[in-house]
Amino acid sequence: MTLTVRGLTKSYGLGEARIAVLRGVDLDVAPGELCAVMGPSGVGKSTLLHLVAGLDEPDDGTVEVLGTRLTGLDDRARTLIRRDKIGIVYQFFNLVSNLTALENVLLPFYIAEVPPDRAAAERALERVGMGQRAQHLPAQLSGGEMQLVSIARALVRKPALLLADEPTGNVNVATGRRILTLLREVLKETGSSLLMVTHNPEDAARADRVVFMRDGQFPEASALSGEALDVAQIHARLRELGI
Amino acid sequence: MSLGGFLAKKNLLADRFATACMVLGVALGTATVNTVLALDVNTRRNEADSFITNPDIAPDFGTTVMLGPERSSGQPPVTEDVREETHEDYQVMRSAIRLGSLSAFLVGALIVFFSLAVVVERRRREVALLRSLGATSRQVALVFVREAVIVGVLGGVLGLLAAIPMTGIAAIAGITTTGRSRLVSIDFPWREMLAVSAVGGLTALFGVLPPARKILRMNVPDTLRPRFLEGERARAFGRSTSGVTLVVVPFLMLVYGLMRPLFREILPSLAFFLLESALVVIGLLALLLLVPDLTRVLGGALGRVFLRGPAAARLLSLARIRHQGHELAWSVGGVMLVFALLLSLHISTHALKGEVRRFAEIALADYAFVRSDGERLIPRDVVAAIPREIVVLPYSGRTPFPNPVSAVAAGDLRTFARATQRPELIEIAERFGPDSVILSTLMARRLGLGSGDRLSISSQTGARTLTVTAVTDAIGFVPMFNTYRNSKTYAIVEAAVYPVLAPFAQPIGAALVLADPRLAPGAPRDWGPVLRPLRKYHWVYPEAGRGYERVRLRETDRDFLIFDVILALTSVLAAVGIANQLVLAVHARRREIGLLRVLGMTADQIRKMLLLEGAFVGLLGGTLAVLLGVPLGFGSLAALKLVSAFEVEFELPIHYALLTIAGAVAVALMAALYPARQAASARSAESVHYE
Repeated sequence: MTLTVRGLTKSYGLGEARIAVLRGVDLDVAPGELCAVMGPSGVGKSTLLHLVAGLDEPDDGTVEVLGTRLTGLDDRARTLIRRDKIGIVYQFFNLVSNLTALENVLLPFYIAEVPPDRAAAERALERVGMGQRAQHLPAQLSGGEMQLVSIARALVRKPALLLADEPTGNVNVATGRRILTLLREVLKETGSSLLMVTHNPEDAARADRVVFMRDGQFPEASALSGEALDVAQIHARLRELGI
Repeated sequence: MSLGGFLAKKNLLADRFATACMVLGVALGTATVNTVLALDVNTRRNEADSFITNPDIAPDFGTTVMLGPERSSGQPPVTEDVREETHEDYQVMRSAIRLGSLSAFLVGALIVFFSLAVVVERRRREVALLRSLGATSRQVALVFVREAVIVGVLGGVLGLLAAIPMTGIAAIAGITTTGRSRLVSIDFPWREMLAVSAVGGLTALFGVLPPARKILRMNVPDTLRPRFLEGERARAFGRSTSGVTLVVVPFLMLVYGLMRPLFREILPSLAFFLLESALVVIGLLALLLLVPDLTRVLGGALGRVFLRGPAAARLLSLARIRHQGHELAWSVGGVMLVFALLLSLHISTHALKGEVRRFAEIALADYAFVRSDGERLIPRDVVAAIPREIVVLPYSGRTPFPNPVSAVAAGDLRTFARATQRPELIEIAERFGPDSVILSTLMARRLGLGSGDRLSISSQTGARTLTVTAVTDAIGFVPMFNTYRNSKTYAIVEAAVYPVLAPFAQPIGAALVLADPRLAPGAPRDWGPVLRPLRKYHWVYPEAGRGYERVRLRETDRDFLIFDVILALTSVLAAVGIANQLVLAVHARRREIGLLRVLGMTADQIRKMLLLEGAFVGLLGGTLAVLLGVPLGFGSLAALKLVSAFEVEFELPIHYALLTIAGAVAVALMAALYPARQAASARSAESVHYE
């Protein structure tokens, strides 16, 4: 498995005001799989992504990425794993405003303190259709274009696991479709896995599997996959779960 | 409760670091000016009793001989006013100290202006929200005004209170505004200090007006639109220098350069100094306008060469300089200002010390001196204790200032001159006789005389008219209980003229100058074994020339200590400003920093990136400080040369320039420690979350 999550719990706040966000989450994501996570706002989807990325520590449970256990490691060790094995795409604030599109894509090499692979960065930009905009600053790009550049950056070091938090949440429908198509193609080419949080049933319908989160858990037998995965089914499952 | 009353305190507490920096900016600036004010008022009071220290008292010519200069050409000599001549150095120093203290005020104001600009800009969306909820422009403006009033009042009161111990500590350390005498008690000029504190407080109010005005005119719907980039906030600080500034400033400088001789001609020394100082201040402010562009252009070049560190930190820092260099300009400007003043001050001190050293080589280095308290002659047993191989030149006492004259026997002077083996001195001594007078360079300057001119000396016991044989500092100087400057103003007459001096000066034998004929000029001499046996009476003071030189050099340092104190306080302010700017930048860039953490930057890399930015501010500010400080130092010395009697020469020891840059980098790095820690400990998961 690319990703294995077991019994993950996470609470925020203190004493009486403590709120359990995740209550024992189990999840596996296979190599090359696109797994979508759906659920109402505040249910813990983003928290799950942050724990999987090693940005935060769970109260209990384990996260393993390519067999390496993240839980229990210190911040630096988790950072190094994230740097080498995980790529992340957010809805907003994905690019460093002072760097050109190309420099943004090269950034992971600089961060990893390895020689920057300019050819790979240019290929990644070409791959997302942004080759012509390599020297543009983010302020000169549209929201959708920025998102494409951030996808190029997430892919440039060929991470085994991609995490995406509503990657199409703030772009128009056409760009959203283009992004999903692109992500699917990349998974096929590289064998990477994608764990994607989304509110959009159309996006979710293009996943290999959709898991639904309610009350900080994935209710048993709620996931959809294979033939059963289409927009209507997803809407039906969302209604069924009261989401 | 009004909206202002409801929000102002909450806002200030939410931005507590910026609030603390702004209060500190007002307080330290105000405290510095108040301290200088209190010291100056007390220095004046302390020096009020004597015409030597108080320019308002006319010189007392009734207790000394009268001097009458005559030019050999028959033209009336261009004499200098004794009062102005005696006091101009100190008046200039006093004015310079006041101007120096204003630099602290200026840096404090810069911090307030910058912080308010950033804090107000950061609240754009909050203000837009308030407006969309129905708040009027006036209501929103009053929130900012109330915040500025709180900051101003707190800073002003703290600046007033802090000046009390600061003045006390300065007085205990022997710091005054003239460096002439210690303060034993202090009276605080409360009314003036309250006025300074009020002005300090008002800087906060002035500071809030421009950003508040701008924000009140904003487009509310546009501001509330979701943003993809944090960088979009930057436009408030972007200010490019217009071509007009680049042309007008040098043009005005050229015009002034052409008219400078005219101003020098028509204005008194002090007024001319103040005019030039005012122009320098205006020039500095104009230069601050150029700093944003200099930060981008010069900063980019310097950054590429000198910025070293983790690759990502270097890439990001360089990109930030390239695209958002203007945001760093406030800090760079502050560092530049402070360290340029520090450098120019030390160039001036160095030049003044050079003057002391040059004078010492001529008048002090080869000799030792034995002087009495001025009331008595040197006792015979002291004279007898001097080894026979040492040549002794006895002087009479000096007539009191402002016309100090002493007598020496021509034969003794010739013997002494031969013992020194200095040809120029031997030549002067050979020409010296009962009809001649030797003038020190300062006395010749005051009287407007040169070699060959005539000087009449008179008192109730007679009058003599003498010919100026030589103008030199090489002979006749004896350390005095007087200010250094005044002790260098004297005339030497032959022993035969002593009866004219007799009513006001002790006879020959009141002071002795010792020379060792076995040593060549400039050869080192340990006078200790000769002088120690002469310490028989507490009113007899044996002293080696080199020892007096060291005392004078220490006194020069002490005279300028107040500048160092002012500029040290200003450096603290600059550090506060840098820390504040970086903390505000860290806050503004929290999402960007969060994103970098998400992408795999370690906390250590983030810390290094911020430290690199701090180092860059120091490096650029320090480099600009050298570029500015050198001409400023040159200008200060030119002004000093014009208004004072000191022969100061411009010289830039290379280590001064290097220390200026190193000091600026060190201050900026220290200031960056806290922001770097804050940035490294930011919770990345929360930072990247949506608004």
